[in-house]
Amino acid sequence: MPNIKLQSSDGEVFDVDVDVAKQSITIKTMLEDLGMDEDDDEAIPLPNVNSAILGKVLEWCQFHKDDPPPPEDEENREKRTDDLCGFDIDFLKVDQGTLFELILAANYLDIKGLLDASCKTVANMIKGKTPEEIRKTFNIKNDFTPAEEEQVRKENSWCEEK
Amino acid sequence: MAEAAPLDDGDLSKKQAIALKRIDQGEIYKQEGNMCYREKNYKKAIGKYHRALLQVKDVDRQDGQQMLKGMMGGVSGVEDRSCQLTATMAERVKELEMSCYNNLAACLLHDTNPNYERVKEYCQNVLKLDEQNRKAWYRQGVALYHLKDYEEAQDCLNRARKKVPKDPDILRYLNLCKEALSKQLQAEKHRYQGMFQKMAEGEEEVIEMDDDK
Amino acid sequence: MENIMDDVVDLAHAHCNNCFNLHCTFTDDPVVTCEVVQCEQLCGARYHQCKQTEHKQLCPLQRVPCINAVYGCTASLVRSALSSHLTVCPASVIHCTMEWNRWPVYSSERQSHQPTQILSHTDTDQLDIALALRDQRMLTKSMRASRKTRQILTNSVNRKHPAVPLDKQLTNLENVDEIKELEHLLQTMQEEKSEEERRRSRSYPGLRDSICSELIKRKYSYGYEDQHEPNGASGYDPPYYPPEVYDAYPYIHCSHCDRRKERLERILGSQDSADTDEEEKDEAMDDDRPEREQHGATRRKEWHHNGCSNHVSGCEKGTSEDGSKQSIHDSPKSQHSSGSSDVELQPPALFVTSSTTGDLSAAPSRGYAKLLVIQPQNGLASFGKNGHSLGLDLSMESITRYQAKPDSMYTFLCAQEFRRDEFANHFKNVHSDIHGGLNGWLEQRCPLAPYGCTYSQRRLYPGMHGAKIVHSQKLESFGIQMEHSSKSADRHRQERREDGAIANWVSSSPRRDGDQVFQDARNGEDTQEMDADQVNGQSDTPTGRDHLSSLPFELLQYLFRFLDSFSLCNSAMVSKLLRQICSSLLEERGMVVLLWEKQDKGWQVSYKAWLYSTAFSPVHSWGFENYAPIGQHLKTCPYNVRSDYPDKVQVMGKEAAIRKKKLTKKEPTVNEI
Repeated sequence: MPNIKLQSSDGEVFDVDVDVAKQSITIKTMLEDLGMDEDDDEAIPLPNVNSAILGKVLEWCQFHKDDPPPPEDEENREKRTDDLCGFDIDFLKVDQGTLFELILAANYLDIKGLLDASCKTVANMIKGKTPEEIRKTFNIKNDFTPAEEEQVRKENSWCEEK
Repeated sequence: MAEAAPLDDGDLSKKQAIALKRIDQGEIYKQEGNMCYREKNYKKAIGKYHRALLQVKDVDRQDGQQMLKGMMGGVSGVEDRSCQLTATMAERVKELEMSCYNNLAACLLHDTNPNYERVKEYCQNVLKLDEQNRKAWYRQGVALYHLKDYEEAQDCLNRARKKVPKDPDILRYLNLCKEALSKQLQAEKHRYQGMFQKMAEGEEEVIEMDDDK
Repeated sequence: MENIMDDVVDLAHAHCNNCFNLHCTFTDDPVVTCEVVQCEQLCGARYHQCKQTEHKQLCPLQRVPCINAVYGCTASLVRSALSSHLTVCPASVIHCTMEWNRWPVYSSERQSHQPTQILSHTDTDQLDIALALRDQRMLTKSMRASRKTRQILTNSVNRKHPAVPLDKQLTNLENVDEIKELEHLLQTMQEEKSEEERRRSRSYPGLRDSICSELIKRKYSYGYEDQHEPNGASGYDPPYYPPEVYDAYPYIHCSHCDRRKERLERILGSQDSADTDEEEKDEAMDDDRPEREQHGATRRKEWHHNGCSNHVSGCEKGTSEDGSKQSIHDSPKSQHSSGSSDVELQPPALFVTSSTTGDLSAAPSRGYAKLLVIQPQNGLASFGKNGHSLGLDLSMESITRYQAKPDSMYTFLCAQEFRRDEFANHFKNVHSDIHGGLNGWLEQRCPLAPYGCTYSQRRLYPGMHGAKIVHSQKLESFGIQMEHSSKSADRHRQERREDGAIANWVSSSPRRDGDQVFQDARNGEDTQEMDADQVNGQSDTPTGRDHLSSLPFELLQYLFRFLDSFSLCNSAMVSKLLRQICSSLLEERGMVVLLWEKQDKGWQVSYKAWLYSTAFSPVHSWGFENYAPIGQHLKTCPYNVRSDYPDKVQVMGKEAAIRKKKLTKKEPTVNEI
């Protein structure tokens, strides 16, 4: 099995199977462009991802490497958040910092499955909560003035002149 | 962290310093890629260009932030999300991306069996950043020609011609497109010829009927 | 239609009129013919050039505005996609017309009496109470609505009982109506010039709490200077307002809001700032219901009032006589509300006998040796900040059209707006599943609830373990919340091992029993905070960093696309950034409604409002939680007063038995005769 070397931002090199790495569309595109010469000697530096996160990402990719490709994302398809597999749920049982880093890494490496799973996890943390609860969960600062907040509470809509 | 950063970027926060380092590294990779290209080592060049792009990808680009700024005017609270890149840095990133994608397209075209879709995609990336980029229009035209979309190819090639009307490469491909298009029309005409006759006969009958009325 | 077509066709050349040859080469005479061209959109059609305009009206690939453009939809799409777009068109708005009814707590029309529920904060987590409180709030608002509004709502079906209008969350008709009423009132005041008339005239009870009053307050407190709507807001892009507008008047919507404000300032400035107290309001309300006085049972009318306004039913008496009933009749008209919009009824004393329970006023005056009187806690202060009581029955009734609706029954409307694709799931999940399950199926109450026990347990979960139904007071609607803790993950894992079947008896955290009745009212948010801390198994970063807001805009947008409309409504109230994200998704997920305003020329559409509905993610299946049988709670229920009868009781008296024997001896038998 051909391997490929990926280097995290803090210098750690991960030697991974090409099939695993190809979960990332970014890397897949690059490998396709390179054709048969995978440039074994030189690692591919990924400055946006540190070693801990890259490790987790590769762990996810390893588990999902035999997954069928995700279906084309129709715009109007109902976006469900309750269809996470057991592995993903446990995998994403991490602190918020790691979770959001995973989102950024999945976006950087263009790994749709991981991006969707982590976004769904965050969405589940938001769903159904009152604004105050959401603020507490994510440490979001309430930057509305009292007047604004009152108005938003009473008229939670956006107006457009006819 | 050691940085040989040009100080014309003003005060650098830690994040900006990291961004600057990445931009510098990206430019280094691009230079290396250019060298490989000159040496006709296209595969290696492709690898270098991709590495360069990975360096500057998501380095707090301004696109998203600009969209946000445009919407919210000067509302306080949005300032925390303001762009971490200075204008100079953003410009460097843009230039780097444009040249990398352009060069990638060029490299791919040198391949024995080029992936024209990929060439088209890279050219479109360049054109998103700079609509007037002559090389991108030209290469896109070439790719479209090979993908047999002759009319679109002509369109792209004509746009490339605007700046340099006498460029021989562009003219050559335009001719090729023209020829291909005429061949296509001929084939179509031939296909419809039989149908043509039948329709003409049918038409006469209809006209006669109408005249009778 | 044919005439129009004739006109169009006549414009074409004489040859082209009848020519439909795709490859026509007849170009001899330019007067009667023109060249054949291809459709610009490449739909494949070829025609003479003079027919191009006609073709554009038919071409399936032609970009046209949505059919609902006149209702506010800004989409522009190819003609062939129009029909599929309609299912998700933001202007395809459906108003839910679901109705249900409730008895008030006091009603002699009803056979039984139910005691008022005294609520602590935790009780409002119970869905049936949450819904009943929502209905009570709607009822209060409707009672404060102008007479005209209430008259409009009375129709041939709802002759006596106008369905309760729901205050729209938008700039609402209610306020517009009230302003008009107010203007009319001022005119009348000036004409009549009578002190007594002024006292009896319709006051503007709702206006103090309305959004207009808030605008006024804000103006004077923030030193806002009138600014007109900038010209930038033409057409809908996510609303862009130049910074000076933001600083001066945050979230100004449009010039309509401005005009309203000006009008209100004009009106309010021109009259005395006479404070109305509740008595006047109630008097006015009395006057507004002359038809009620026609009823024989005036007492019923009083009950009707008492059930909905801030009347006190001052029945702190002991065993009743008829006098006590009289006392209710003469009950003081009002108690000053504390200014909140919640109805606060003074909880009455209750009587409990071995066979029945109810309001003390209705207690039988004789015949009972033992009459237990329960004096509930007095004073609103004991309820805490959110204390309130419920004057409506917890159970909902549905009355069909052909049944006569009892006079004292109140009708409530859902009256929420949904997009076409959301409505079906709303109706099924909210009205059929949740409302239908509040009678004990979804939310199981202690059987001693009529005696005062507030314990209830949730029996079903929606969709998957860890999800629960919540009620949002701000949005006046139900939603789904995901409990994201390690425990739910364990459950899920176990569930998945059982091949995805919804497990009935998967172990979960045991339900709290009725002891919670005696727990101090906990801040509901503390519970949520616990869950948040348990999130993903670890607590938040020590610095409490806001990771969500530091995500790039596009990523946040992508993330928010996974949320349902209910959550989008809530998220839009969290912070400015999240509000911006939500506004960027309006065209995909939101709705647009037209808001009308009465102007000189009549009713006109003044502006469009974009908003999210309160629909939550569809629930396709429900599962049973692992709940303990209600008997477990009854063992420890404080209201479970056992009666022990250690002594034997003779079923029949000894004397009666002897008498009976004598009787049977005396009567001749048939045989003897």
